[in-house]
Amino acid sequence: MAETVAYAGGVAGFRDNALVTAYLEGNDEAFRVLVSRYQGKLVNYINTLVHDYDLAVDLAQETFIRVFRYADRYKGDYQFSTWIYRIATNLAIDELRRRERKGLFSLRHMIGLFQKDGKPLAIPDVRPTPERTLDGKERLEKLQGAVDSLPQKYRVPFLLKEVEDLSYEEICRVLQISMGTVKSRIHRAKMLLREKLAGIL
Amino acid sequence: MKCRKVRRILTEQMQSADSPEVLEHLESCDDCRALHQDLLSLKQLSGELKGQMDLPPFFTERVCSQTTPTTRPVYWKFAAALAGLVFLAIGIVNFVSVSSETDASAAASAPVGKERIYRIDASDLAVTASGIQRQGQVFSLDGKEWEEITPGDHLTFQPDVRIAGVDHKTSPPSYVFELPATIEVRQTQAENEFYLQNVSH
Repeated sequence: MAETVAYAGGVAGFRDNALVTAYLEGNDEAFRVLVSRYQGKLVNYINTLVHDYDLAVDLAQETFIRVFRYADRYKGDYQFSTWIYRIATNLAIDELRRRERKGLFSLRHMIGLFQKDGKPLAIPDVRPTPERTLDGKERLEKLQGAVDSLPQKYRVPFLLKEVEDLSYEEICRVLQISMGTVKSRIHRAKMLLREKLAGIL
Repeated sequence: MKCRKVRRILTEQMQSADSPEVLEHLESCDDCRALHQDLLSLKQLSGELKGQMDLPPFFTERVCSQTTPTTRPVYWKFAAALAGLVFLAIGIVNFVSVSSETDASAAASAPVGKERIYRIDASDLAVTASGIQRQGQVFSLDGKEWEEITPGDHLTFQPDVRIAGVDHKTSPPSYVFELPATIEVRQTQAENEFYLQNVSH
């Protein structure tokens, strides 16, 4: 039976990296704290990519299982959030590709994935008429639709930056692409969104 | 400063976006000023995609039950073997299997050492954050021995308890077990800690 390491005062206030260390030293509670800290963010983030709540929950769970399985390989020289987002992003993208192969798409996803050549695909004109102004919920839905219609290579870095608040450096590590490419893709995503949401912003 | 450079500075949210050169350019260039306004709106609107999603009940417990095998399986096997020996030795079968047709309160409990074990037929059983439910009723097991599972309790699903899905029609949402399933619920000496195992096979 493995020993459990206890810390006076508990581990709830530990920083992420310290929690990983505590967990590797045998403190199961440290892993529970990590799960509690990231579960909401991860389910929300994955759901913005796959638009399937149950799938997002399953993938978030799988993300934690991989964190658990490979915790000893985690190098503390970069943020834990970078690592966990990288696992979650890879799982979500793999699942989207799997669904693409099997034709398991919602229409919203098909719009995004059919744009792999980077050419903007026309989406319905959502601009409000002078007589009608969109309310907050409608604006959000339009934004979500426009984000979904972005090619994946633009959509993912945009969401990581603008929704998840990751830094450019973190996004480089999550997606394993250069800083220049990250900046360029986010720039392109914003310009496309501006075009798609003309009259709404 | 040229428009192209200003646009890059604005979309990448560089610190120099507030520099006198950029501000001066924005004053004199309608196109860049409009872009600046749109980007601010886009940022604000994107932030609203952050909304936290509700997690299924016991998400943390479900993840942790699959990722902390250091002590629990050993303990579990030991406890199960001990319980079996006790049952055989004293010749008492101290549980009642409740079928889906019978009254929900008919099951019995059997203290084993300092544990309490309950065995219930899960043909239409669901676990929610407010307790074990069966046909919409809290499953009370005679209403005396059983301590109700409440939000915040640690609920550990053994791997053979397979979750068929989440029923969002109940409030709070509930897990539904895959059948066949006879779920053994053990409440250990530790308060608020329950272990669920499928003993149907």
